[in-house]
Amino acid sequence: MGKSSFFLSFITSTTQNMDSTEQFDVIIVGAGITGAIIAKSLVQSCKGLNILMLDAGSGDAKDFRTYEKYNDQYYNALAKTPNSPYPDSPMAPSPSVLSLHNIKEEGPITSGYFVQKGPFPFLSNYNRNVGGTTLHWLGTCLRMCPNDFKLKSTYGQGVDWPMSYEELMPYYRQAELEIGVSAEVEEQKILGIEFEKDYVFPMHKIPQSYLDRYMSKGLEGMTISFHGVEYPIKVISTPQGRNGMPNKKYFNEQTQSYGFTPVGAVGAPELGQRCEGNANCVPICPVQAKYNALKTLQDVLNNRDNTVRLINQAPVHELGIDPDTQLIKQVFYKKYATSADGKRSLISTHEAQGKIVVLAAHAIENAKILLASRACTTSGQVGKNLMDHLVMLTWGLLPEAIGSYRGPGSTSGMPLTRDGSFRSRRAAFRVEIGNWGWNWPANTPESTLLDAVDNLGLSGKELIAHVRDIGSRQFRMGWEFEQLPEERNRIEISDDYRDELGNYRPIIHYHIDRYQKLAARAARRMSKKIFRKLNVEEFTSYKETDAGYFEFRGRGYTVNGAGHLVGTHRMGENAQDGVVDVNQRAFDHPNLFVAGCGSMRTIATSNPTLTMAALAFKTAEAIAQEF
Amino acid sequence: MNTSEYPSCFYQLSAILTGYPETTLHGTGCGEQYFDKLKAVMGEPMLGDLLQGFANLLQEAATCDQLPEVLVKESMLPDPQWGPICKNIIKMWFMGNWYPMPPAWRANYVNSPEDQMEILSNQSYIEGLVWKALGSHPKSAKQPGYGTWASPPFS
Repeated sequence: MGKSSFFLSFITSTTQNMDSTEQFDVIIVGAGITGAIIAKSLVQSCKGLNILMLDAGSGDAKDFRTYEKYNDQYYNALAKTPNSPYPDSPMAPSPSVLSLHNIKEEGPITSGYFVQKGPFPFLSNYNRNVGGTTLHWLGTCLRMCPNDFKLKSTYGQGVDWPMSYEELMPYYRQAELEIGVSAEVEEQKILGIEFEKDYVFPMHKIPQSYLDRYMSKGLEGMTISFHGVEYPIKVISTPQGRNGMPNKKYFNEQTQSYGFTPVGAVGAPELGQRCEGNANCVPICPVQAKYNALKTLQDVLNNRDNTVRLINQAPVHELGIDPDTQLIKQVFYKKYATSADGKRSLISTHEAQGKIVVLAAHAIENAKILLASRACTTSGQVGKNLMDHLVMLTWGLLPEAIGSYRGPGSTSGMPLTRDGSFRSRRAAFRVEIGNWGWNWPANTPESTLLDAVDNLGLSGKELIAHVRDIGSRQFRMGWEFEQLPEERNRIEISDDYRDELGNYRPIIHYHIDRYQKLAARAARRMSKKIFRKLNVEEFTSYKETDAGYFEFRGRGYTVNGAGHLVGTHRMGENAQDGVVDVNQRAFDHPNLFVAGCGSMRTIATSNPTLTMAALAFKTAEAIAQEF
Repeated sequence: MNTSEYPSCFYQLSAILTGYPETTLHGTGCGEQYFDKLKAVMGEPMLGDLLQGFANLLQEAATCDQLPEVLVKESMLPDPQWGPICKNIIKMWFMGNWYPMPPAWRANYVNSPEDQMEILSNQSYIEGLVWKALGSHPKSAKQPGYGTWASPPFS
């Protein structure tokens, strides 16, 4: 983690203005999963389009060489954070968990990329490189449940979406095909989630871990009461974008045939045909058994019926708007590179014109560009309603070995607490079972080893026995709380804070509220109940100095960011109510689409990528109508 | 002991400190790297003293019928000069990293510019013995195969 060695802050730069404006049918800002899906959908449904894709960061979708360097960088990273394998240029920085500190104790955060005014730190991060955050994501692919779209009318909390689960269903299907999701449909018919008749997921569920099955047996028949209702504590497999065994009954609507072929690594397709148990999904799957957007980009760049150009190291800083038509007339970007002798940065300013312009640079970056351009001003909602999943971790030692540190980061959860009448009072949560010991909360196995050597004075066979005993009994649970949209949770920009390229750094104002704090309390109660039943020796510990520490009703809790950023250019019924419509078209600018998690009106409890991918397919359909 | 014997003596000491046989240690392919790092931080004279001291302990163990492990644990590990070095040797083998020596040791013995937190190499990360101790494999390498995470531990 840290600045790429190529970019030295003292080198002089050369600026060059390009004098002609290139014309395109579609300009897509951002080569992550949203940009890639929109591009792929367009090149499959249209012919003869001239498409430009711009990405702020590095990388390509050509071969395996660049990815191999990411793997190497991971091995050598001192702090193995989610972004640690990937390039991080001061010209287009990505946020880092290493910048976080407790704002109450230490004041606003100004180092790193985010400027955080608080009062509570925004704990999540994302990745600004070709492939985007799917490079480091876990791969969890959950559909939202029907009530998630109508929190206001069902529970009197938050807002309703201008669309329903049923309307998004056909797009969820397309997303599950593109990503390649492994799950069994029968056990996913929960929380009111329905599927088309005869639907199955492209691949069978990823085998549950020994830990999952151990917990399942130990918790059999258990329930917990919330708000006067009993909820089963049931361990259920998590649908995930990770290659498993293809389901012969899968019907591919595109090819109109049965079966599914897993997509392996870009440039090395024989790799990653199945999850091989590298146990490193976050931050990098070394064989690309896990889906990442490079796989979709590969298809985009290989198509022959349209012209697609992908330019990396080209962050967009502003959109030019025609004052009369309100059409987006220019997309302004700067390209950065290093001179051959490695001593100077080369920076050039460009503009391009697109018949249709799509912002797909992630929730915060999209909002940043809109604010810098003074675009989409009618609703006053740009940058506002920033939401995240706060994840509370609880952890301990089981009475027997379960073989932690094996397999995907999480193969199951306890999803039945994702919806219920309690949502009228407190946030719902999703429960995730973690397979990697205490890696997330306590940086194990390293901290277990160091503690054994330094504090317990162990060596030799005693050391091995201790590590073996303690390590293989470690497990953790993650309690992922939803957040309600609030205007005061927002990003802003200011001339006081710019990066090395002169582009704005996001300034974040963020709070957590009672709705979530009550959920933390309920989650703690459920965790205690589970730990007692399984005879877990609890080691959960929250410190006042933790960045995400807060107190509620005499008790301290620490939460972490799940990496889910949502809400900053919300969908609405009309221009007063939202920034974009149900197709993610900007109300204020007829040729602009602002796509991504920023369009989501509520975050609920599902990891947002699958929903975002579904919305991207819907958006691509609307854009295709223009051609 | 002359310097050409230092490496093999280092492996003997490492085997006792880590609890793994010398063949396992040789199998990692990282022994030379760890030896070189130790030499770079401590300097060859001190390294020689460490290894000579250990060789003396081995002789003592043989003559008074004691296990070398016991003598190492009782006399080397608590020693203010040799203890922290031994711990760092253990950490190198288990984690593949060099950790900075404690401030007291730096003040009293050697304050070397080589004594910085460091991941010694890709290979040292991959060959870290902590994963073997856990009955698993390093995150991102030596993957055991599809579905193996469903089986009981240590199987």
